[in-house]
Amino acid sequence: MYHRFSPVPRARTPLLLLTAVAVGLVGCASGGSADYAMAKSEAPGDYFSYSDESGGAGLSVVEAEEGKPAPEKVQLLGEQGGETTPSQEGPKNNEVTRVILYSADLGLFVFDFKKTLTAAVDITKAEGGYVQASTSSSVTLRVPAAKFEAVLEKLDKLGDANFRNVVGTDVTEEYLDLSIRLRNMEALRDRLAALLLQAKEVKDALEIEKELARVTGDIESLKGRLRYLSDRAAFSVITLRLEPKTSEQVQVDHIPLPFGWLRQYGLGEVLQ
Amino acid sequence: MRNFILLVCLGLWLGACGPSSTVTTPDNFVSLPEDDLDWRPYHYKAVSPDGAVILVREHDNEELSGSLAYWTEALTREIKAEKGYTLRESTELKVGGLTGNHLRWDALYGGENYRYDIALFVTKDLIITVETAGSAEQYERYSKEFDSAVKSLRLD
Repeated sequence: MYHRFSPVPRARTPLLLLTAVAVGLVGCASGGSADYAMAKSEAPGDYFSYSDESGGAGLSVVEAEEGKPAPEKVQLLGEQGGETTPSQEGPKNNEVTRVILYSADLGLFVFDFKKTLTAAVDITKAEGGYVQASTSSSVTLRVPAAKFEAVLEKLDKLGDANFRNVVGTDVTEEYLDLSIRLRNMEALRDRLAALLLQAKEVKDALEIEKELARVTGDIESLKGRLRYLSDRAAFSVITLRLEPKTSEQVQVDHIPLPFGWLRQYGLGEVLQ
Repeated sequence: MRNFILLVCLGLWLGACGPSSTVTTPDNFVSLPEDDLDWRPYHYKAVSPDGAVILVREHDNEELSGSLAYWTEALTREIKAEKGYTLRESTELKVGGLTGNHLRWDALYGGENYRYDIALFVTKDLIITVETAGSAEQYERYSKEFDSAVKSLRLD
């Protein structure tokens, strides 16, 4: 877990080789050449890829150079239209960047909830984000990871700060693990499909089909989780919570005039 | 004879002390009896059945001799700084031979959006305000009543 304000500070270190984690894959004897790659947002340094071209793959965690363009959207290559080649950009094969899910909880004191919420939504949409949920006093926004910090700064100016918490959760390990399990499951599915074609007994065919159904279900489940992580990495979450601003929070920068009746004006007196 | 003169003088003095501004209570509003307003900083208050309010106040300007511009700025600064309301609009207003300013405020009251308008008029001797207030919803509902109350302001 990272607690900090900036979502991509490490990106300022050019081509920083954070960790070289060589993971020997055991039991990947599918001989397949499926490649899985995820590019996390257009933030500098945010690039994620996994490939296995020789049946036994190596994985590493790196960060790309600052300013190096990356695909705009997180995607799991290999899932879309049979894509099997890693991205042409970003680090070389067998390398991944860290996959970090950023979220922020921002509390503001404001006079007008409606105006502030409208302004927050406008800022988010202008940066390519969208509204995930909203109430009369709060809104959950999804913003492109690369715009996370910029949006946060703009939202901060909509009122007086009450609180601000920024959290980054590193899910690189989970993402890699899921990717490997997915590849293995798909290889197993292919083998089962081949066995099914060769089955001569009905009993054997039923057994294989039953196993095939289980494996297919697992594959869908793994893909779903990977999609969720990809989406969360691509679009950071900012929750804006509003509190009414009262006179106690107002920055009084005037000298009170010696006419006490002026201070009797206001809704408190009128609506009593 | 001497007592009679004293009584006449007292009557004239009391008469001079009373409020000199009046507004017509709009339909759907009820004005509070004067006795209920004793010791209140206003001399007229009318309320709708759901709590929207019309209020009239008077302050002495005889010795202060502040202009309309002066009191408009003083009141605006005070409300902005002390109450934190947002001035939505400030327009000139002419009512019953008086020229004033209509200050329209957006305010947050109890977590809800409210509207609070002050029609401010200044004469040589008096500062007169007609305040209208209610939730944003009430403001829409009673905008005609609020306007008619302000426009009905008369000085005795």
